[in-house]
Amino acid sequence: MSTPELVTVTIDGRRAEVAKGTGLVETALQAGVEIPVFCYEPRLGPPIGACRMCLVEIEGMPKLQAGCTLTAQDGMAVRTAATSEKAAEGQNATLEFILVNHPLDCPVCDKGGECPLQDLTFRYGPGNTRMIFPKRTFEKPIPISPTIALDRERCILCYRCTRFSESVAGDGQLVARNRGAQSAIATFEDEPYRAPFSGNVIELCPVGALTSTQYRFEARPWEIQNVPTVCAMCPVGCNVSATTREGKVKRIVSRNHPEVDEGWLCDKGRFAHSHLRAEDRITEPLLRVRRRGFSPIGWDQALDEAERLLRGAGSRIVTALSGSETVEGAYGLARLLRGGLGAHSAVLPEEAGHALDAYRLPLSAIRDAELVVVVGDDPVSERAPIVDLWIRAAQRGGAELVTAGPSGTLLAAPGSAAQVCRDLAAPGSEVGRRLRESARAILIWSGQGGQGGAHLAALARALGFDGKEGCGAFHLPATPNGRGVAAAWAAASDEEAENPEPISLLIVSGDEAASDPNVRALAERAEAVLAITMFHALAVGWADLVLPATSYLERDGTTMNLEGRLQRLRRAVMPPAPDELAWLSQLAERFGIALPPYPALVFEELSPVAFGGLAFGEVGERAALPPRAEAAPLPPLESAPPPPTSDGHYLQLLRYRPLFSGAAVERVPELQFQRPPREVELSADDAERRRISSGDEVSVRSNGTSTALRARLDRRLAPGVVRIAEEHAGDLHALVEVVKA
Amino acid sequence: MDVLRLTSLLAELPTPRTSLLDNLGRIRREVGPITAELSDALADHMNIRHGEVHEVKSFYSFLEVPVDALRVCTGPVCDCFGARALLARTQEHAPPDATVLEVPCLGHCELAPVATRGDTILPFGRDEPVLHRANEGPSLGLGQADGTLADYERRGGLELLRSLPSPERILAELKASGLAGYGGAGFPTGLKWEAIAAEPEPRYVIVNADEGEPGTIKDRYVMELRPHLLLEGTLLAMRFARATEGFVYLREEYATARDRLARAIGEFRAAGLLDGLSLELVVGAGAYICGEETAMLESMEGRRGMPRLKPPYPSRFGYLGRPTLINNVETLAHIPAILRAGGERWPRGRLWSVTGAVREPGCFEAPLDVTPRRLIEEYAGGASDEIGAIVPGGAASGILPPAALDVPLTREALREWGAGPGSAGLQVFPRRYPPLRLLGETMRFFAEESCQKCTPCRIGNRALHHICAELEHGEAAMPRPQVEEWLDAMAATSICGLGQGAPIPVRNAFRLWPELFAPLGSA
Amino acid sequence: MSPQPFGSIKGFGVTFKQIFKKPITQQYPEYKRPLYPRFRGRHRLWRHEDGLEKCVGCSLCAAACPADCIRVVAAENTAEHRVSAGERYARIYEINLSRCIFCGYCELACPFDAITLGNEFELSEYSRDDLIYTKDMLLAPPIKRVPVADRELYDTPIPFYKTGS
Repeated sequence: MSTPELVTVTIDGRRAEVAKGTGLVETALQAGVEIPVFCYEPRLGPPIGACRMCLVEIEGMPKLQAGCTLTAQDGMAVRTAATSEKAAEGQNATLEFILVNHPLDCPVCDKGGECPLQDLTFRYGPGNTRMIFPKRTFEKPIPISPTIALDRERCILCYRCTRFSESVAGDGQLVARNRGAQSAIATFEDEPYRAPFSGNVIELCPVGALTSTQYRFEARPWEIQNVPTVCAMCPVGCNVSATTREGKVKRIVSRNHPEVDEGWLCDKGRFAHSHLRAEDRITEPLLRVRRRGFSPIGWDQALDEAERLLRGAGSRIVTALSGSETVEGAYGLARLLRGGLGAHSAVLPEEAGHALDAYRLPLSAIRDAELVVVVGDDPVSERAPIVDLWIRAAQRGGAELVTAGPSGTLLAAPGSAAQVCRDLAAPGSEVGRRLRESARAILIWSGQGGQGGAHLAALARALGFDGKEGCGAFHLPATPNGRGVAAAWAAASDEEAENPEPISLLIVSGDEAASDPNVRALAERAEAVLAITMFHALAVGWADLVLPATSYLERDGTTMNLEGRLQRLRRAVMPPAPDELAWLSQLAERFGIALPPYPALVFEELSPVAFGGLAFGEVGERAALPPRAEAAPLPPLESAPPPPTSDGHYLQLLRYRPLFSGAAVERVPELQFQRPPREVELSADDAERRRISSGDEVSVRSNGTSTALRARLDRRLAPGVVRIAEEHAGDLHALVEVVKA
Repeated sequence: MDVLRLTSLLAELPTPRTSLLDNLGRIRREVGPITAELSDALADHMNIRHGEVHEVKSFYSFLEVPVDALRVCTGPVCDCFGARALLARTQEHAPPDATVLEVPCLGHCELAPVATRGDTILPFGRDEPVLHRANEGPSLGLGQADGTLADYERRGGLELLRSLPSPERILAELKASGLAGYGGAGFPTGLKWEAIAAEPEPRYVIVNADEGEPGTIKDRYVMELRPHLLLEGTLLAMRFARATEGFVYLREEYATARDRLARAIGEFRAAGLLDGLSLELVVGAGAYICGEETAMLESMEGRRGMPRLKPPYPSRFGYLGRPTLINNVETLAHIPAILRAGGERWPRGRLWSVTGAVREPGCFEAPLDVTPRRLIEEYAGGASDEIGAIVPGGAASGILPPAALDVPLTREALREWGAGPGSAGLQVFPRRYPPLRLLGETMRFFAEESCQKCTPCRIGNRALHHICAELEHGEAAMPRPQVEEWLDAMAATSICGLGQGAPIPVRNAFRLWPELFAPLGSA
Repeated sequence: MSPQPFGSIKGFGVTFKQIFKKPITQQYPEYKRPLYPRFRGRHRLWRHEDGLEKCVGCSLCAAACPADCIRVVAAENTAEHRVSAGERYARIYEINLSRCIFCGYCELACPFDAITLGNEFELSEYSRDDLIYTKDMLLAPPIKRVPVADRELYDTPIPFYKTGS
């Protein structure tokens, strides 16, 4: 990269040296001068200069200029409202204008206390109001979605939200309606704002016009604590602050990590926290009693029972891990089971590996790419939503996006991603040639069967990504901390796992494992099941002993995201029961294993083995990305046999796990509208052949099972494929018939 | 039903984003008012997100109303001649399924009070309206309409296009003529053309025919009477700028002008004058702000017509980011005469719309330093009533008392009165029409037509309208010094001319009719 | 020998002089001194004339409170259940009077004049828990008078006693 040209700008007599082209607002900040803004937000694209709050006087320009629209030029002399009377007059008037119609309901408004309009009015506004006008009134609040309330009276038409909707998230659902005095922000056709990133507009709104319905009237800024932690709902690991009041998480707000999330959050990460207080949350150990279901027991008895089960099973234990445990929690479990009992057999929902560490880049590198290639069956936004925003940012910057999958720009059959990788590596591939020539190309694997990124690593190596700093590859795993859990499990012992048969005890760690059909199938073969889950519904029917699990907001520790970045989780609220590490350490003691109950100590123990001796304190609030690994020999590539393909009559079923699914989302009333409708997606060809049009009720059948769904045509879907969300697919087989009901 | 009719039309509609406004206009004319279903169908056809089409269609006043809606003009001149009462009466007697719409200006002020149903003009109060009353005029020659291209050629037209002067000569003549944009801002045309010549190709030429200023009807006269003259000027501009694509952005209300221009363009095409060039008619949909050149560009690119930040000016970053020459209709229409006579000898003049309380309202070409009294007496048949207030040139030009009747209507002379010639729309108001009402109506116009992008214009105009309305009831909404502060702030901090110009009539009234503002206290 | 031999006697002299003066002890609670008008005692929450609570649950009083003795939990008014005039009302409003220092900042902070400090100061209880005043208690007029059986016993203003808790 070339070093940017430096220019010197004088702001209110202070000199600042910045790279040419830096925004004036940032330049001023560097000189220690604030230029107040409302509509300016560099993450939303080019400035629009609408609010006129940032007016400054520039030497040599006769009129006041909107500071936010200017960039630093050499020798520029800027006078802000602090030193220029003209600018101050303009700014004062602007603020007064803005306040003409803004209601004085700060005591009622949720934004009150953390409101840019309030803050700037205090700092720059006149002390008194001169307003004797009747203010404009509207119906309020208007719920534009179950999670967001709109108050048009407070709106100052800064267009931040519509710009987010249009250019960042690209959903285009929040729009500015009408002209002149009737102008207003509205959702498109007054439909609910149903988009995966809608919640960001709450944070973007510089006034209280868009507020969260979940947080509505829950707390005021001086009554809350913000705990800096990391979202552990998906493998991106967005940095968040958990706002707590009186021991309860009230909301999740973003905490900008410029390399990971750029301050955006998906609605699942933002709104799903209320599952902590779900009605069927397990708060005490449960023991299965014949014919009576579960009976709550005390912790002493629970540990006795657990000890009995473990001793009885010996090494014939299989542990099903969720991939959402903390690194320390997984290590604690591994120490107990592998060290204490020699039970080395574990099931992870997905294979994790280090193969891609040689092509590691921060997620923000996607934005700077010129060519992004996504392979795999799943849409990126369902697996790792923020990655989708990074890709959109790249596209805005002119990058080309190639998706190779069942509904991509390059159509590929479901389950053929490994083959796609081989094709791209082949000399004849046009996309492969462009990838090879590009200095800033990104590969992304979004789907099952990536073998922890090994397939992608092989492709990257074949394309000559080694040594190219701008080129990288990402594997989007299915679980939030799969890599960390795998590393922790491996760190506890070197011994090989033998799969016991029969299984004496199945330990189900966490909710994802408890709702995994494969794990359920394993339980059929197990004599006993010990489940560690948060919710009653996940334990009923198969567990013999249930120990309460905790959520990521309730425990301390570390977690590793898809980039391989180790990030720090902090306990935002106390869990209703002791966390995993607390009882694991007591249980381990009974087996003669010394396991400290404190994540920091556990981490110190495993770090030399798993993370090169990184200290717990160094993980930090804004975690750094480890450097790229040396290119290492790749693990042997295995290809799963290709799934049976369509023969015209039978269609290939593509299941996907929607972003808004899972045990947590199911327990959040506000998010129900985001869950996938009961739909089957069909390609236009297949639908036409079956005389099915969008909205028709259809029956999807295979080998004796059938389910009724509504059809939706997807013009981009490959012919011969139908796509159904996991939760509606039930036990349909790989090939299905679709018949109009 | 509508969607079915749309499906057959859709296939014909072009899909580039720049065609959005045109497509919406066509659907409205051929299918019906743009409903949610229609807008969605169009969005799908053009591969634009539904919400964006929704944003755009709701920005314009007319896309959601039927073509045959009855539109009653309540601009200041019409208001003065009883448009409100007319509107009330019409609303009362209209059949229940008819749409009656109050619009801020229809651009037919000489027929005030006026309404339109679809493309038909309904001049209330006059049985036999004189549609065009114009003088011969040395530069534009509006006294005689050109029916066909042959008529135009017979009067010496097209000569310049055939023997195209060199760009250097064109520039020299333009500069010598001192021609300054007649759309209102008065930027020297020579400098504008010089700037565009320095920019890289490809370049575009756009004719600003979105004349929306209440009281200004001159461009309509040019387009209706001498469309070929305008086209020759436009083609000269395109040849000069070496632009192969040109556009005429016409306001929706000008149906006759639309037809005549379209016919004239057809004639030009048939005569081979457009070979290798494209000249398109873009029809607006009822948004005054789109007359602002950058808002017009946004509108043409298929977005909400909100002005862009300047700089960069359109001459550098215009239509689709390319250098673009934007000129007003009348400005372009003068260019053939300038080139024919030579810049020095060109009879400097401009076209004045004279409307209101005069016997023979119309458009008259007169010298730049003509006085209102001369315009009224010599050109417009004299005043029909005792003169109360005069507006020299469109809504944002100022409001003058009868004492100013003998002031030459030049930029310099009017500056002393705190006013300007603007778009030369002289409106004469009778004494019975209260100046405060006039001011209030003007501010209402600005408040309703503000695009709502920047704060000062968005809030300021609404507040000023409120103040005027309160003053009519003898109440003060705000002390005078504060109003003055706000006026300064609006002029200094608004993005475009609408917000910057809106304070002018208020300041003018403050200065020239201090007694009206007594309730506000002293300055 | 004391360096000031007569000092003690002088001191006793002061004491003896007092014996003949009228005592200034006042028989509280039988007799109560008048309070200054701006004396700050127990809080009171107010209602509008139409019966709606003035408090909107904004928590500004809690923010201003230096003793951190106010707890407000807000909720939203609905058409069926309207408690205050605005969108928001205080679902829980508690003042822990055992922590309150009666500084009156809450009164100053209140944007709706919903809370004021009265001049009642007899607030003792047998349990600290009873000193947490809930919204209902704060909305009620100050403690009820207890009818006194025999008024003749008192030659001073009649004392107040709290009932209920």
